[in-house]
Amino acid sequence: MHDGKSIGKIPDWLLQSSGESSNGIENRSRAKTHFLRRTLKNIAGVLENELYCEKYAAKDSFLQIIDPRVKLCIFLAFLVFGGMAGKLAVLTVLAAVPIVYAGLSGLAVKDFFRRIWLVVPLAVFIVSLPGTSSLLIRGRPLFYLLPPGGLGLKEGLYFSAGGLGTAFRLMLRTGISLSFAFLLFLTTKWSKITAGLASMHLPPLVVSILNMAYRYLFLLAEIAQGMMEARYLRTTGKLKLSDNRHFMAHSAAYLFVEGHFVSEEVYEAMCCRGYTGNAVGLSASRIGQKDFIFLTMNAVILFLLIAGEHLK
Amino acid sequence: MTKNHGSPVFELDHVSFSYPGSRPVLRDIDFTIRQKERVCILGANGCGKSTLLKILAGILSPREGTFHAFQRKISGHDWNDDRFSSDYHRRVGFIFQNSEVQLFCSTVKDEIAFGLLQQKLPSDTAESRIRDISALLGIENLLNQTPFKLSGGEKKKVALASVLVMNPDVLILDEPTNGLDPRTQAWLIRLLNSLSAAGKTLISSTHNLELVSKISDRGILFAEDHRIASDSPIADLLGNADLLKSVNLVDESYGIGLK
Amino acid sequence: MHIPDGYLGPQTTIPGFAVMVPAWAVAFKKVKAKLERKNIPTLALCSAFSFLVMMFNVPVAGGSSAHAVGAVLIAILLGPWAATVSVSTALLIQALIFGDGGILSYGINCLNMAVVMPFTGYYLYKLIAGKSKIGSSRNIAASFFGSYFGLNIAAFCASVEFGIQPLLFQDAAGHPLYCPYPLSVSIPSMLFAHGMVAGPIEGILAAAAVTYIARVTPQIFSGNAAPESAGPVSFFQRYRNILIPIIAMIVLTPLGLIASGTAWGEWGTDEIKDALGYVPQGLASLSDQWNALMPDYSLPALGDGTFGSVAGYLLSAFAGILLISALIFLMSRLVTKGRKGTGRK
Repeated sequence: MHDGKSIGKIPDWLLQSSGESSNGIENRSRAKTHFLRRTLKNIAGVLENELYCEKYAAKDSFLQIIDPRVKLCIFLAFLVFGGMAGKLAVLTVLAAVPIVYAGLSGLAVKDFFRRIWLVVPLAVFIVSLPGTSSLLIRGRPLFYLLPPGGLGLKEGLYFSAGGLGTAFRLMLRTGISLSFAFLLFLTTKWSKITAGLASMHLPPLVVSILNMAYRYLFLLAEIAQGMMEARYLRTTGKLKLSDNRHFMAHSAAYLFVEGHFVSEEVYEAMCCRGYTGNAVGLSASRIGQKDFIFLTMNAVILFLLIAGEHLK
Repeated sequence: MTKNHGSPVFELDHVSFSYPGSRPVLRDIDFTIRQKERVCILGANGCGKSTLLKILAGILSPREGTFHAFQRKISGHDWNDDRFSSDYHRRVGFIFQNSEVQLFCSTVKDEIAFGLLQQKLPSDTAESRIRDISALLGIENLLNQTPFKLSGGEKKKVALASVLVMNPDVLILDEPTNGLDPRTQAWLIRLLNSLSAAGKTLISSTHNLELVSKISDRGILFAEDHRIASDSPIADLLGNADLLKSVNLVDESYGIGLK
Repeated sequence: MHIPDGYLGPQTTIPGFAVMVPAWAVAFKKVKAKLERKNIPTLALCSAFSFLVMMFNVPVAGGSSAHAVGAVLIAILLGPWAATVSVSTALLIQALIFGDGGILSYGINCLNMAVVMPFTGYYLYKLIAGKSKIGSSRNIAASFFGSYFGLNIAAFCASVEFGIQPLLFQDAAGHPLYCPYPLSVSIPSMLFAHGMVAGPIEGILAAAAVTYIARVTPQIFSGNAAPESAGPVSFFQRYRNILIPIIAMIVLTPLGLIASGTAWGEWGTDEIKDALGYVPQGLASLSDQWNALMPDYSLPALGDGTFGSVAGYLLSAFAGILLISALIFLMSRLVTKGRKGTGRK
């Protein structure tokens, strides 16, 4: 084709219609493509997450108009407190705080709750159950899973109040951390989060790398998505495990090479606009009255929680 | 060469270039581009067009031959001088074929501001320039968006804005209409012509032969052996079907439609 | 291996940051010198790559799949310091946006996956590969074992961090406040999972990726090979000043934690008492977390299973949520009203 002469004769098999031969479809369901589907789901999650967040961060209701620096500090304070608090009641109240914020900031509360609490914290809870049963934590039995003597366990298998409390505490802490992180991201554009970090004296080099990494993440994600989709659509028969592993490894390598070339070109593009090795950015916005209200009121909430933690 | 517009912007004398460990991609290139000229670089895929543009834009340095820009001889170590490099890049704007690599900031506004801030312009001057250029290109509503979600046409407009905001004397465009819909193409041609009327030098490379005569007066045609096959007014070049066929830019059917 | 918040107590997570801050500072200085002006785009793309590799599910025997970390691969391609920067960036984006790994445990996660893993893996790779040609079978084997052991050493660190939690943090009744699993459980289970499943995947991914890149674009390695070719011996000499304190901190952190656990609590309240003549209730409570000073401090929520304390828990949680919701609602009114007043967008 390149010499511009002719295309050549199209082979006969390409002209034939493959028609009803259904064995391809049958084979697909038996083909081991779960790893592809999972990878694709992960990558699609990245892209979808960004769109989801952009939708909410662009609104201008409550949390969206608070200065990102103030939000960062307050949320971090809540997080640190959550990491140290021990009372279940206090942790429960703290867990409710982001949900109330989400509701007042125009986020879909049900969705917010589902995305946070039904994934990681639930898994954390389940994983910690064996460790919080009477195998590791004894006490006055609350309820038995196995009566004493069952399966050769002299005391049986039971949960004590203290053990269950530990499991709940783990779950609550994980969920609280996730809630605040997600709330920050849903109400603040990435560029504003990094601008906030920059004004909190994170070196400009780090901020530039964070920004650019986040920006090109999507480019690489799209390239990876393309590779996985092509492979998924062409996987009609059963493939050897080692072939699949090699495919994933080669995809990763290809992605690295591609990323390397993009980085070279990005560097050239930066040079073309006078880049001399110094990272600079537009100055951040100023803290206003609304931010002071937010700051003081949250300090009050935090103080109430700390007081609650100490009250008998 | 056809008209003597003004003082020379770029003068190339026996320039050759090769990437380390591979065969030359430019051989013995000679030409002069003057102020206010509209030049188009033509050639089949892989003939060295992009490499040539990168030399002009100051990203690559020639292996052999001499390269003058703005009547000054440019050598490889000039680029280590930050002031020279910064000034050169302000005067020569380069629009990449792939807008994706050119939009590396997290918002459109930061993107347009990047070149200005590298020049250490004060924030308020930068802000007002950003306002003007985004009004000119009709992208005011995109300023707070992330480049990732823009359409192809919008990306090209932002890339143009980020270069034009620095008020370059020379504008170099690598395949400017690639991936643009017909309406955006027409818009781009009008924009380029008004920039040319304002005294900018335009250098572009393209495969799109319909576009060539609308954005250039002079054509530099590359042969597949990486040498210049012809350097002549664009109308003469496009009329010479045999020449275009000889460099494998067009096939047998070219020219039938013209008659 | 992404540790979520809640598993680790503050006295593990805070030293995590304390170790990482100098490590990051050195890493940035190193990569800045090595990559020169290209540092920003190269590291950014590498971080994006690292992020995506953590999303790649690789099939394992038995029909399941696991994801890789890729830290050793990046170290082989660009050097261990670049891996520290890239993986840290990727982990920060994951923690902030995808809730993968906690915020408070970010320092510890970085220590495991962005420092321990690339460095141990990389120098093991160097040791095995010797002066072999990139892409040769010895070199590929080195990539495999470097990645395999890098991941497992990182997993071992994570399991130690988990395992010391029940020793460090208990309430008065002896219930663990953070991770409930002791070392005797955490180490075998983490090492089994990583040794049998995740480790081989990490190794295969790195080995195959190195093969591919050596074949397709060998010039990528050249950027790294030159300055690092001095070998492991000179490395320790060159970076001795940084490595020894880091290793010492890693070794001493668990011991220091046990010691400081009580020291901090007592020091904190007394100091404030001296200064203010009064201990704020909240602060006293905070120090209680570490040394459980209050004799009757126990879980109020489920108490000892009595109905009364469950009801008490429900009542206090409910009242607390109501009060704080009212405050937030009021604040929302004030803030959004203020916005309309000033006419900002």
